[in-house]
Amino acid sequence: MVVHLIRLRFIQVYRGLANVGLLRVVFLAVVILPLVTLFLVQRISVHPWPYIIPGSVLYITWLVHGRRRDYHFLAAIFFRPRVLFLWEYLLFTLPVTTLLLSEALYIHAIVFTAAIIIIAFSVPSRNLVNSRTVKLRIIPAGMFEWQSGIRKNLVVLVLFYIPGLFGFFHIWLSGVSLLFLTLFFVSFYSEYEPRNMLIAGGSGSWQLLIGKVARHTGLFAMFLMPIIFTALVHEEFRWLTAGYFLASLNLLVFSILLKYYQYRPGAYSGAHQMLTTLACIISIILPAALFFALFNLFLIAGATRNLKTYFDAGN
Amino acid sequence: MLAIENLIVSYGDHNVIDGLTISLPLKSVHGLVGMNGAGKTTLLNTMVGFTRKASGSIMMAGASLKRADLSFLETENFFYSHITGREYLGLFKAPQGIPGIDEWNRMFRLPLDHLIDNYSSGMKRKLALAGVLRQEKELVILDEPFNGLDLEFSRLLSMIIARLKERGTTVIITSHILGSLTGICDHIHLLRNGKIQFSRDRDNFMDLEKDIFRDLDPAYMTLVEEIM
Repeated sequence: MVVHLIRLRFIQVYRGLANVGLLRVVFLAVVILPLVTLFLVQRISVHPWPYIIPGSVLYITWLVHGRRRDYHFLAAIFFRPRVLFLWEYLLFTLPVTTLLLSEALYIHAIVFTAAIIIIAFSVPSRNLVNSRTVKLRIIPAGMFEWQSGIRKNLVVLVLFYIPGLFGFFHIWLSGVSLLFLTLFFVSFYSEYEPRNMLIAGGSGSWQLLIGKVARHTGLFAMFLMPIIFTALVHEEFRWLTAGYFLASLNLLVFSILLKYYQYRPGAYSGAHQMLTTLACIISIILPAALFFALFNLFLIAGATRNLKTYFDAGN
Repeated sequence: MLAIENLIVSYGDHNVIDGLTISLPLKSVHGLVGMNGAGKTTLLNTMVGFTRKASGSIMMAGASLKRADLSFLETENFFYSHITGREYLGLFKAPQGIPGIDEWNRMFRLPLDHLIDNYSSGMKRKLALAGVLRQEKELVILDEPFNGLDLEFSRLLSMIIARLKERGTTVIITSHILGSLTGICDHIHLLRNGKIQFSRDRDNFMDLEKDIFRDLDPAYMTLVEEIM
């Protein structure tokens, strides 16, 4: 059964790639994949990357695991779904484990594998929103991504926000807090609303996009402001702090635009999750963040075009 | 007997199933009706083990009910993207003696070599049913199985359920449409506020509709009339 399901996973990936288009697949295989591999191989032994790379992969795995919709389906037809999850995660994170082992980072590899096992054996909860509902009246009614995302991740958000407020003690506290908060907020856009919610505002595709980007980025900027102010105490990092603040806002814009670029009613996108996380990690090298700022210009045209399909669907 | 005793299931402070006790004879078809939020799906999810019970017991033939004893059709079905109907059905382990997928599909008439992503919602429902029924378990639980099915297949499903009963399978079905249950069920149970309000056998289905709607809150009906 496990083998059958893993085989199905590969078939899914293969057929999914066929939808991406031949040119883009070639571009991914010839340019992006070697570049990412090169980047990982070069960085894995340089502090603090042995923590950042496996940490980010664990973070993605945890997010994907928490949003799995197939747990109940598998539990109904297959009696050990968590064993299947474990095999899946071990297989898909094998490049990172291999990388750690090749650099003789044995403790990292063991901790990484242990964390994968813990994630795989935890139950992804469908009812998380029901059981941890909090009052979120401060967030405007239209920002359902935030309301849903904050409900699901409230504890973790608080856990990363509070250290950020103590950034005047050490700039690293601000940095880590900013990175993880950005990772969380960009992940809110991986679940796509149904079409009736999309068109409920009565505006056009362009107005929806611009309005959403402005509202969400504005509120995100206000939310980050206390952390940024405490970080600005460190005069020598002032420009860096401003740069990372702008990069965070830019990543949120990237996440919103990417969502609508590949929007399909009511879908969940694992690809969105991975791409936005990857963008966050790459943006740690600040000049690379500029690339995403330029890429947003391309995305906004594509997202408007894609949304127009759904706005015009009833005409 | 499938015996549920003093079952309590809570979401926060609210008891969705509130001390429910019922004994369901095996090898028969049971219909479970109730308004939205009455607790039907929660009861089924608890029987399957997807929702944790606060207290109480669920026993089948004297032993605690296990997930391996039953097959379950959820209200909303999950399908992996980019796989075909045939690959989906291949996930369901069928016992010895069950016809192969193609022969099984003669009942369902699904384009098994097409991607499920291209199926209509009714076809997806049929596919999920085809998988669940292929498992041939002692207990089959179907949550709103008639949702999204065309008339022809609704009739066919009624026949399939009758055949399951003949083979000695216990079937539990929920539905909002009472008419779809009276023709196939041996017993119908009304669930209200997390409790079984009453149960009727086939011989007493005549006044079922009257009994179910008798207790509807008149103030609520007046409110609807006012607003509409």
